[in-house]
Amino acid sequence: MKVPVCAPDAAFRIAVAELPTSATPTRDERGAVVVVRSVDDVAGAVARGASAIVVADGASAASARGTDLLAASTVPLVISRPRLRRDDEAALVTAAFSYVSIDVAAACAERADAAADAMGWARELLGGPLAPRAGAGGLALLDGPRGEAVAVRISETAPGRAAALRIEAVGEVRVRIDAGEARGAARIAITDAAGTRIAPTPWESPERHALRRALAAVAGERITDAADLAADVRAAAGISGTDNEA
Amino acid sequence: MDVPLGVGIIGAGPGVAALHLPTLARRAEAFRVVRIADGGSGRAARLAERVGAASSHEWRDVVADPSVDVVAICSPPDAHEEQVVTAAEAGARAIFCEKPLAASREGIERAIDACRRRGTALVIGTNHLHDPAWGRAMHHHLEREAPVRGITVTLALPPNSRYHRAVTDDPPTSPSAGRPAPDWTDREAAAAIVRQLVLGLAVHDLPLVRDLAPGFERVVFAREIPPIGCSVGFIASGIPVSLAAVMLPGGADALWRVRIATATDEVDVDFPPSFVHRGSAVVTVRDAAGRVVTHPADDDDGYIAEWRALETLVAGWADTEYDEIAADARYALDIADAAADWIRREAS
Repeated sequence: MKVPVCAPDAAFRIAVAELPTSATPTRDERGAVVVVRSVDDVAGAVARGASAIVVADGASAASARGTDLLAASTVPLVISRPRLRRDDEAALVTAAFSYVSIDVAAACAERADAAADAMGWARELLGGPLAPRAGAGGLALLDGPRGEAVAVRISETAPGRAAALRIEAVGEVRVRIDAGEARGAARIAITDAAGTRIAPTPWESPERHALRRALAAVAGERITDAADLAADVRAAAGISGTDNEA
Repeated sequence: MDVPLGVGIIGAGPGVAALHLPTLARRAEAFRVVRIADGGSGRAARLAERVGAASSHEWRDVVADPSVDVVAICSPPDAHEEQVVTAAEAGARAIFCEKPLAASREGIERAIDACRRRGTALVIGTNHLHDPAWGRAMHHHLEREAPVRGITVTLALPPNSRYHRAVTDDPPTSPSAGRPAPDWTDREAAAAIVRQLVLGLAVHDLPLVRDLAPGFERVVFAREIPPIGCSVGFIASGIPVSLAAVMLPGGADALWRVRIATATDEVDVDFPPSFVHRGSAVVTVRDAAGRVVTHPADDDDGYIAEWRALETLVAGWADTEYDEIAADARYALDIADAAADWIRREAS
């Protein structure tokens, strides 16, 4: 059965067209997967009877206020975070890492969500949330779920420049992730004693990917985007100049 | 240089067998090893025999040997200061000293004063600082005139024996192999080990960091990384610097990278593993438009380049930068001490 999708956004309408056997366009939000632009539109879509919601602009939710708004939702939420594609190869690497080094270079306006996405990658790689330990002046130290060191450095770039994220998980196996191009997928390199392999490029558009996950949520798959983003925002909060030194 | 300079080496460990002897073999027109001394292990005789040099168990024999022009100090770090001072006062033309120059601020001043007083040429074995790729990265930085916004140094090192095999058929040795993991719950010990790791491992790249961020201000965090490593975040000249290093029992090839973020670019300098001679580091620049340019490596690596630097000094084509060497050494010491203090403070 095709799931109705209400998508005012052109890119998401294309995504519906690219899922012709599982999705069908509709203007009626009731019972539909509804694509909203911003976190501010979530409550309205829930009130109008959405069965699941896709937040197209994940950056709009990358704040304590945004994650509070998401937490109030009673329907499954998919948050589009193109820099953090959850089905990427790196998430499948289960090696033990000694530390994760994170660099975020972003213009001021993009800093919070870029940092949250970087935290998201570390969370995915380490298999659990991060706990802030110390931070000041664009530097932060966090503990991974098994006590791994997560060192973060964030720097400001000129306005208008796309953010650049480098996440390097280091152990006997290393995973290096470069993410940040507006529509480009992260480049993921996995190195072990046998050499380096580059993860395949996910050719699917970010919109189709997000929509496909929403359809899976309607079918009963558990989606933890809101809780994950909340954890990432909390982890990133300690980075932006908050003095928390020993 | 018409006649090769006579080199006397103090130390006969893996750093000599797998690093300096193969390096000097590549500069045979400029250097000839004439004496090697160990601390009684017997390794010096074996190494010396291969290169037609004399050997001894007493390092002072190297300093006293009239055929020695260049004293190469490759002994344990605690001995460096005394050996530098003694070699300079004995009239060595030049000293090559492995990192660190000395273990204390007073020791640094004493060693530098001795060399300056006698006009002794001095090179510290900070091979990454001498790597031609670093000069290229600095040139790029100066040309762009973009302020540095952050620096990240990332290290992951498998056992050295993997790379020894590329340059010597000596039986493999690895100082870290079989060494029990430290007791990291002892925070005083952890502070001391992290200090040692900064001075012994991170010290490779701290002169590079100092090139860009010369004024150390404070440590923001410091911690150990099991099995043996450390992570230190500090501010220098207002620039955040993140440094992480770990020695691993195996796995992926060595990672040794300095990443510089400016207002417009990200510059990665990827250094080759220690000991090997496969050219310089590789510099990759990602600019504001997202273009990524990787510059080809030079033929010379940092090891060759540091011995070339010594040749230049001995020939009188350049002067030893005593103040820079001293400042590099103090910088490393300041960061190492502050990192250890941070760990003690967090524990208290």
